[in-house]
Amino acid sequence: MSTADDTLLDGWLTGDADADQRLALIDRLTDDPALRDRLLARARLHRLLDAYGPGLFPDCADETTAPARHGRRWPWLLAASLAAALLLTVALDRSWSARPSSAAALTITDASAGQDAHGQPLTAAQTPAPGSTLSTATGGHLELQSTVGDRLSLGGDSRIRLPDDDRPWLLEQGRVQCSITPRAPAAAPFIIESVEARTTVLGTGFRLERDDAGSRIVVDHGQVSVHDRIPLGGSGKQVTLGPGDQLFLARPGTATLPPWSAGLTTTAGRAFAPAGSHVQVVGFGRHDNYRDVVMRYHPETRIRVSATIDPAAGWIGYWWRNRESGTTYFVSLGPVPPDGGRFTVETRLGAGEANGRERRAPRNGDAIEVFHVQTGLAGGVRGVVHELVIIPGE
Amino acid sequence: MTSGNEHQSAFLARFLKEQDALRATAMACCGDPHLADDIFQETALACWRSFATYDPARSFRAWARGVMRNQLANHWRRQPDGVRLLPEHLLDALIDAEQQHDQADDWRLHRLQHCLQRLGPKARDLLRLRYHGQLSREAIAERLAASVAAVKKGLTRARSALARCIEDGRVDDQRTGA
Repeated sequence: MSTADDTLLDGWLTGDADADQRLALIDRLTDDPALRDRLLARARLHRLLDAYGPGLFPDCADETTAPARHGRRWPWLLAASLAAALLLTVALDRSWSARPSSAAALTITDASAGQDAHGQPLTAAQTPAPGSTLSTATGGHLELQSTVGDRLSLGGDSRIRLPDDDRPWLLEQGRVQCSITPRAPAAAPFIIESVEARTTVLGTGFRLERDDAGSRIVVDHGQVSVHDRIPLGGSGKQVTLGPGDQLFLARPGTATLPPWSAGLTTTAGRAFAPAGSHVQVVGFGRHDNYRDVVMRYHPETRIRVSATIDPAAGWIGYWWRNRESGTTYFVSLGPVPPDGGRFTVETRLGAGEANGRERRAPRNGDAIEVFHVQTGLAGGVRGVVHELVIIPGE
Repeated sequence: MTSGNEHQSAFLARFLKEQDALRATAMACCGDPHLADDIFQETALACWRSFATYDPARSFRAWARGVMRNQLANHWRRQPDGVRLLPEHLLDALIDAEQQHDQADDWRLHRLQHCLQRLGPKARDLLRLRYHGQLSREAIAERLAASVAAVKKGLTRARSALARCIEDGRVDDQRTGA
């Protein structure tokens, strides 16, 4: 088989083939049964790589997975870490911590109802001191820019500590939107923990929020690696997030995700459902719809779904994927009540059924994602998912 | 309720085993991954709706592919020119040929793991970026300071090396009767 044939087949399978190439392929396939077999085999290969890719490179998993460091979870440590604002050490922190950007490199470009740790109002063009804490009142905002072009926008009712020689950035409360300028490889100190980060530094846009329920990171573009100092699963591992991913790290106890809304988007950036509207419960095969909720595996972690769904849907369940082994699991939540009323069902993650071959059993602390809710009917099923609750295992 | 659960479990037990192969068949028949997803989803839905008519004595694989064939034909009839599908005679030929592919996905996956280890570092690195890192070809090109065309070419070569290695394993297995 020639390279030209391979190129033709790959072009077809990846959606790159133009009209002429399509016609050429049709001609070839019509006359050549062997090429039909090749196309089928190639499609299987694409499918396996797509579906199991993350688990096919086990040596790479190590690159994104730091050794477990939280052997025990002392209550005071939990309280301390929470009090310390759920130390979200995004990769950004690591780089700035490794070679902290001096506060002189930061300038306030816009300020409204912002103040320093002494309650002094902040103004534009001010250069805050390294390690100082800045905050905003309700409705206020603060814009910071570094000399390399990084921009941080602190929302209202927020508090952030700037990096110094020893400590990274720390969002203590509220919300910060970060837009990180791409670095040239030679300017290496900015390292984002991902499988490729050792050689190339990416520009990254993400939002970090913290409130009473926990902390949330939403990645707009690029990749960030979140260093798990949060006692959710307590593994001390890292999670790498890509565009569209959303990581929610809950305080210990019950975490309730918001109802599905425009804020939760697919990896392709498509809004899942208009905010406040009825959601369209997805059906079979939409494997890319829910790479939103990333968390740590524990067999006793439970998922509770409260929904009102057209009884024609038959049944409801959800899928989760072990990011570290590549295996997906289906967990049935059971039949939809025939009366069409609101119902609440709850299952353990550990009750899932592996989809196909289970490469390895899930381990405590594996990074996993709930990515897909499924009913017996696809597409047009109407329903409201009132809430999806994650109840962490101990 | 119980019978509903049993019905669902019986369906899922069969469907989950076949879904990767079904999706691959849809990909082969469509020149558009999104359309392949739609067809796969519609096939799954149609399989579920008509599962009561499925005769357990027959092959689920053959039955599900028959359902997929109907879904493909529906798409073709609705949009013969606009849709990126192969013509009907080729759809039939591909689905017939697919039935002969008896190598289970478990076997392929196992073999694929083996073959990945045998790839050269450059090819393996490209595949790692694409499928482990889940980067687009454009992002890979930017990362490697290469052109998108070079990345496409490199990925095609890497897949070809994998395909050859998988095929060699199949031939070896046939020779040894494994």
